[in-house]
Amino acid sequence: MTYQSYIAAHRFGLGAGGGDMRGISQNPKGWLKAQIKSGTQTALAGSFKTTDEITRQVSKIKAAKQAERRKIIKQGVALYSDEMEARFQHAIKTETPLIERLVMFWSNHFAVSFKGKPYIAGLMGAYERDAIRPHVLGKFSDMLRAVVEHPAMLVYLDNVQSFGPNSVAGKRRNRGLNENLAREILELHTLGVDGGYTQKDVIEFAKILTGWTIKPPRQGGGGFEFIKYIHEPGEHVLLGKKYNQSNQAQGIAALNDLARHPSTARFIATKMARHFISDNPSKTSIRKLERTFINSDGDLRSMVDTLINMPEVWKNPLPKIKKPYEMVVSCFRLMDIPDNKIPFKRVAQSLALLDHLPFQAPSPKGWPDTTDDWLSPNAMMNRVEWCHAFAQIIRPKENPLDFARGAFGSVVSADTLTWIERAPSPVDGLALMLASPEWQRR
Amino acid sequence: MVSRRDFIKGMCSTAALAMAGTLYPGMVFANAITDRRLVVVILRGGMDGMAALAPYGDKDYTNLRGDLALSSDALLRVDPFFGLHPSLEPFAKLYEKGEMIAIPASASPYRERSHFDAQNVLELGSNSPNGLDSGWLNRLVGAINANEDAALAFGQGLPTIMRGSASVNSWAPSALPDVGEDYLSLVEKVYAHDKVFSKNFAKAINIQDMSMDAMKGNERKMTRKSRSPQAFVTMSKTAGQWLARPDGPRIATLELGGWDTHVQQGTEGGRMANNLSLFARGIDELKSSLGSAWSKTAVIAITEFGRTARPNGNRGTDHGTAGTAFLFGGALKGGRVVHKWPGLKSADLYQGRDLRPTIDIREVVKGVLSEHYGIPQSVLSQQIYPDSRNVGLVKGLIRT
Repeated sequence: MTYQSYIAAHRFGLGAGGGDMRGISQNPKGWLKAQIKSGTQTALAGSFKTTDEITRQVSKIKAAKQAERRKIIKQGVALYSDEMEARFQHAIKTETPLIERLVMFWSNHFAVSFKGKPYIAGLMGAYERDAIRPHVLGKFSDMLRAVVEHPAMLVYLDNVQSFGPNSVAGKRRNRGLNENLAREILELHTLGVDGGYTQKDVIEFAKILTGWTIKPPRQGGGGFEFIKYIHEPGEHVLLGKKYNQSNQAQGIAALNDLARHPSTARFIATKMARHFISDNPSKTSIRKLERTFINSDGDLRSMVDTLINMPEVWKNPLPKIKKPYEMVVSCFRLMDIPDNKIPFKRVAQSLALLDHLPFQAPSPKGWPDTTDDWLSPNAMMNRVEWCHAFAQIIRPKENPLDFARGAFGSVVSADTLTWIERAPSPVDGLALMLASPEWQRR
Repeated sequence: MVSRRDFIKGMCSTAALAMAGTLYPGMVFANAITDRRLVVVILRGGMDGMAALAPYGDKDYTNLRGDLALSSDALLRVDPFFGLHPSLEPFAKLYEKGEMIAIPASASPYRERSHFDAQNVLELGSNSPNGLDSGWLNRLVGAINANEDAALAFGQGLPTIMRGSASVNSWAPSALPDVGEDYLSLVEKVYAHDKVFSKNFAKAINIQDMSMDAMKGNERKMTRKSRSPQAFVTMSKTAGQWLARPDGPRIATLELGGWDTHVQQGTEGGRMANNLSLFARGIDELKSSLGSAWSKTAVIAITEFGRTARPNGNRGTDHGTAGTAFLFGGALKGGRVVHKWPGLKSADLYQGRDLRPTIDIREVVKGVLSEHYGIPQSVLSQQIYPDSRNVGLVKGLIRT
C-alpha cells in the first residue's frame, strides 16, 4: 500500500478500514474521481422536516412568552439532535466520503451556528441539506445564493433585523440597517478580508440586501421571503458598480458579481488549498486553483478535479490534522461497530468535549483549519483520553498490530508499530494506534 | 515519569530566566511578568450591578428599584453612598483591607442587547462583535512576551478572551475515564517522532501533573459537583493553587454564569443572592489558596452588560447597559468605589431604561495593566485595545 491510497482515504475521504484500503490502493485517483462524476448523489437520504416547516416554528420566538420560548428551543434542539445523528450515521457508512468532506468544508465556509441563538438549532440540518449539499459539485454562485436565501443564515447574521431606512417599514417603525450579513458575505464568504472592499461597500451592500428575510408569522410564517416594503429603494453602488435593479433582482445581481470576482477566486482557492494540500500551501498551488475557478465560472466539481490532478497534493502524506469530528468519524469507519452499540448521545458528548460539536463554531468565520488551532495541550490530552475510551468500548481481543499494518500501509513509522506491539493490552494497543500522529493526521 | 517531570520543570525555569531578559522590544516594564498575577473573572449572563452594589444614598434608588430594592439595614454599607449586597460579606472584608475596588456605572462599548455579541465585544476588546480575531488577554500575553505556559484558562474550552496567536493553555476536570500511566508513556514514545505532537503533549502532561499536585487527585474528574454552579468555588481554589506555584501560570481566567435574571431574581435572598454568594466564596478561596502571592495579584471581574434599572413584570430585570465591575487583590490601592455616578432619575437613564455608562471598562483594564505590568499607553491603545486612543485610563488602581 502506498502513501497515495492513504492520502485519498484520509485527506480527501473520512478514513477507511483495512479492507477498504486495499480497494482504494489499486487506483487512489480513480477512486476519488469516481465519487465526483456527474450523477453522484450528494443528498442525505431520509425524511426530514422542510426548511419552511422549521422556520415557521422559529419565527414564533419573537412574540413567545418564557414557557413557549423554552418549548420552541427544546423542539429545535431535539430536531438538531435527530438531524446530526442522521448526518453522522451517513458519514460513517457512505461510499462517497469525498462528498461528505466537501459538505463539511462548505458548511464550515458558510458557517452558521446556534451558539447564542439556541432557537435556530432546528434549522442547522435543513440549512446544510438545502443550501450546501445540492451545490458541492455545482456552481459557487448557486451555493452562495442558496446560502443567502436560507432562513438559518438570514437569522444567524441578523438580516431579518435589517431595514432600509427609507423603506416603508423602516420609516414607519424607525428602524435601520443591520450590516452583519453584508459584512460577513464580503469578508468571509466571497472577497476575503483583504479582497478590496471598504466600509462604504458594506453599507451599500447591506442596503441591497434589505428585504431578504423570512415570512412574518402573522402571514402564516414559513421560509425565505423577499419583502419589498423593507427594501431600501433606489440605486446602490457596490465596488464601484451601480445596481439599479428593483427589489430582489438587485441583490441577485450583486451576489452573482461577487461570486465571480477575482478576489473571490483567490480566496476560495486559498481555502481549498489549505484544506486539501497543507496548512501553508504554495502560491503556485493557489494560482492553479484560482485559474480553474475563473475558467470554469466557479465550478466546484472542476476545483476538486484540479486538486486531484495536482502533483503537490500527493507528495507529503500527513501535512494536515484531522479536526475532532473527522477524527471521530474515521475511528468509527475503521472499526466495524454494530448499529446502536454506541448511542449517538455519547458521540455528541464526545464531540462537545473535543470542542467540535457541529454548528457550534465560535464565530461566523467557522472552525479554523490549521494544526495549531486543534492541538492545544488540553485538546491534545482530550484526544489521547478519548482514543483510549473508544478502544475500551471496542474491546479488541488481539493486539491490533496486523490490523494497524493494514490500515496504515506505508505511512506508519516503524516506531509507532513497535510501540503498538509492545502495548500491555489489546485495548492499549488499539488506543495507541488511534492516538498516533499517523492516525490523527491526514 | 519522574525524569519527564524534572525535565519539564527544568524547561520552565530556563524559559522563565530567559524571559526576564526578553521583554517587549524597546520597552522596560516596571514589574516582570514572573511575579505579578492577573486573573480575569468573566461573569456571563449580564450581572445586575445595582443588586451587587446598591446606591442606597441616591434618593431615587428605593423608588426606582421597587420590589428589587435592598433595605439599607441589610446592606453592607462600606461607603456612605454605596452598599454591598449582604451575600458579599467577603468583599466587605477585602474592602476594609484596601483589597477591593467597585466600579459602578461601567460598560463595554457595546450598546445592543445580545449576550453573545456583548461577550464578544467584552472579550475581543473590539468595537463590534466580530471586529477582531483574538481576545485582548491573548494579546496581553503576546505584548508582555510571557512564556508559553504563562496563561491558563480554567474551564472547558478556551474562552474568546484567551483565543489568538499567543500560546495559552486551558484546563478543566476531565470528563473522560482515567487512563493509566503506562498508556501515557507509550503515547509519549509514539509522539517522539512528531515535533508538534511531542511538544504539545509534553505541555499537556505538565498541566496534568500540576493538576494532580494542586487538587490532590480528587477533583480532576468531571463529576456532578464539578458541573454544578459550586464548581466556580473549587475552580477558583485550584486556580489560586496553580498561580501560587513558582513554576505555575501567571495569567488566568475563570468564568461564572447564572446572571441572566429575567425572572424572580430576589432581594436579600433568592437566585441573585445565591449567585453573588458563589462569586464571593470563589474570590475568597482564590485569595486563601494564593497565599503570599495574593499581594502581587490583581483580579478583574467583568460582565457583558448590566440590566434594566427598573424591575420587569416578573420581578426580574432585562438586558441593560451599564453594570458594576469589581477589582480584587493585594496589589490594589483599594477600599474605594471608583465612579462617576450618573443618577437614577428617568432623564438620567440610558434610553430611559438602563443605568447610564459613565466609565468604559477598557479604561479600567488599561489602568490595571498600565500599573500592574508597566505597559506603555501606546501598546494599550494599539495592541491590547486597538483603536482605543480616545479611551482614557483610570489611574491609581494599583499600588506602585
